[in-house]
Amino acid sequence: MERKYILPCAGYDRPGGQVSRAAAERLAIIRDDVIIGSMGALFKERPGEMRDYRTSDVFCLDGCGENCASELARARGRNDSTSIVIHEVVGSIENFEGKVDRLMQSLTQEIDKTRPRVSSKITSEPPHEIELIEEKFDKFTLKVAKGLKYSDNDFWVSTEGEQVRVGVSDFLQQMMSDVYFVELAEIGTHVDMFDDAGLMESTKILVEIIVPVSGSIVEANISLEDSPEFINESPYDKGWLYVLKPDDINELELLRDAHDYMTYALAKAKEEIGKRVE
Amino acid sequence: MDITSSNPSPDLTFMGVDREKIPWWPTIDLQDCDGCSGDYDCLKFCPHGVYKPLENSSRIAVENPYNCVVFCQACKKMCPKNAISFPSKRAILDLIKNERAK
Repeated sequence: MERKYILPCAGYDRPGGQVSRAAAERLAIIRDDVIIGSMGALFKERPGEMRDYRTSDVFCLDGCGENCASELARARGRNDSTSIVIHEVVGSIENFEGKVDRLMQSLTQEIDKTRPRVSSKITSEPPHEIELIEEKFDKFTLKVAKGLKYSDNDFWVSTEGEQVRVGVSDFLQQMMSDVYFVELAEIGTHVDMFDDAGLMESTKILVEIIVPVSGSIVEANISLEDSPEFINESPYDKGWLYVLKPDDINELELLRDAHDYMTYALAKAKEEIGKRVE
Repeated sequence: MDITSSNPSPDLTFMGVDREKIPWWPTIDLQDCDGCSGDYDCLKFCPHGVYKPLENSSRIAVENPYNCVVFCQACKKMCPKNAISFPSKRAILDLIKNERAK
């Protein structure tokens, strides 16, 4: 089910804003697939808002001729949003309730038109197919994603243009077992290489997030707050932790490539198993 | 005789440097440590067997320093007396870089 992100006009003190707000709120109550966007949060590019925004179909409710909602949607990179101009829809209806009902009908029609997404680029998810190297050890299968760099603390880094994304390796995920709580550092936090920023708590252990590169955090995977299990289910993909703007990309030369890390992780896995047997 | 069996220090390197060349482990301030009145929060917390209670004293000691995960200082945050400290990360990273350059 594709989510529907409705961006109501922010002119709450004016008729168009009031009608669009009321219609959006009522629709969100009766439909599970509808979420209400915030002009303010979208303007400030708050990470949670941006995630919802990028992963949903967008419907802009324009309360007056300024078309602020549609303009902002365009400015935030969406040219496939649906614009609904309130005064065109409600026309000559006089009373407030009548206007809200009419707008809800119109919005529902638009939402239910199954339109193919023109742009499906979701920048907050890792952008490429993940190719894995797999090695069996004891009853474990270790998976190491190709093309990433790895720290000896078992975190990965991928380069995405001028930014880097970091997460935990499959080995660390397996060693931790089920993660049930993730605390992430705030956007804008600056870390030096191997500083800790946030933590993960599993049924077995509490692990600091040791960031494998110096830089400023520009995005944090806040979906982990509700779904910490992504770390176990999908450590190289949905379980990513941060996107950073690195201070010095050359630092990554200190880290291991995938094959090298596999050798290291296997040795560590043997060590861990050995401890348990003792 | 396997002398490592009583002291399970990893044969592993860290970032290509022998672990035993990297002086990263906790230091306990014995003035402040009171062994959490026998609870030893750090001992209970650390899964790597770094700590061991001191005999004849209700305090903690570092038993296996090279088991300590380089750059991890999570136990420090567990200590209610703030009696655990670690070396500077920057100094350790510089040391690792120097060793790698050899």
